[in-house]
Amino acid sequence: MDIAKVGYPSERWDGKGTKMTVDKGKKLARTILDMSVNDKLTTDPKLDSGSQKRIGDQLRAMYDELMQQPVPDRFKDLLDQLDKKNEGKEGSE
Amino acid sequence: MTPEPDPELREALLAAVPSLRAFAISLSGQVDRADDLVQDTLLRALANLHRFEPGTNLNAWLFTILRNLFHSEYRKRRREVEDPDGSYAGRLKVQPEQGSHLDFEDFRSALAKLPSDQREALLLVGASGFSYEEAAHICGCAVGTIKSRVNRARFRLASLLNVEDIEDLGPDSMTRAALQG
Repeated sequence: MDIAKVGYPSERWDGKGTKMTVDKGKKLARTILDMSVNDKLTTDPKLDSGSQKRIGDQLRAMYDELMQQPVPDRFKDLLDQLDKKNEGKEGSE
Repeated sequence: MTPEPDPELREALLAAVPSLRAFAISLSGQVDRADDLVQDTLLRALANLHRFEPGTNLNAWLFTILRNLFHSEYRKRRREVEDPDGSYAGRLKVQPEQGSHLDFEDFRSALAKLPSDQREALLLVGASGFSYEEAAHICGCAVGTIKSRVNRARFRLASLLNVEDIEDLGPDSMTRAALQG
């Protein structure tokens, strides 16, 4: 069981006893590694690309539906009125 | 001084209305309020046309105005936009796309549960087609802040939607899981 001595997490945690000894240096290194991984997860979670795509697709589909709604007349009227107003009196707001 | 009405500009403003509305509706959750926001945005844009630098992104400028109006109004009203009871989603009435397998109702209610800064960032980058840099400019914050908000928004949405998937686990859950993979 040479590989156990290297101390891969799966070998250590899946095995029955803990026959192998892991030197303190490696343990410490792993602890630091785990901490930094956890830290990263809490501050800036990352999604797998599949979930990210699914979220993105749904968002755009919902948004596209809103975009395709006809423009209410009030906006066309508003811009038309401003055109007329500006034609009548100059330089007013 | 109001600049001369430019027919090209008028067309450009009109062309921007659908995306402004989509953003305003998704942001506020109310179609009426969104339309008022879009109208105020157009009026303010027209009154401040001299501040717009020709050649820069007109849409980004309009989105900035709309976003600022939304937030100043929000501060005035002191009303929560976050919507734990789902009334935001309930107010949003949009017919689902015919034959679509996507469930917008679930998606909208999940979107409504996001903090407004995250929702805003996600809408700008993920739906309105702005770059992270443009979104940062629109929101007046750092690019890294936008990236982080978008990430958190996606992550939160995914977990909200997955939770809902688990809740209505049916015989087709395997199919669903496979489709999501």
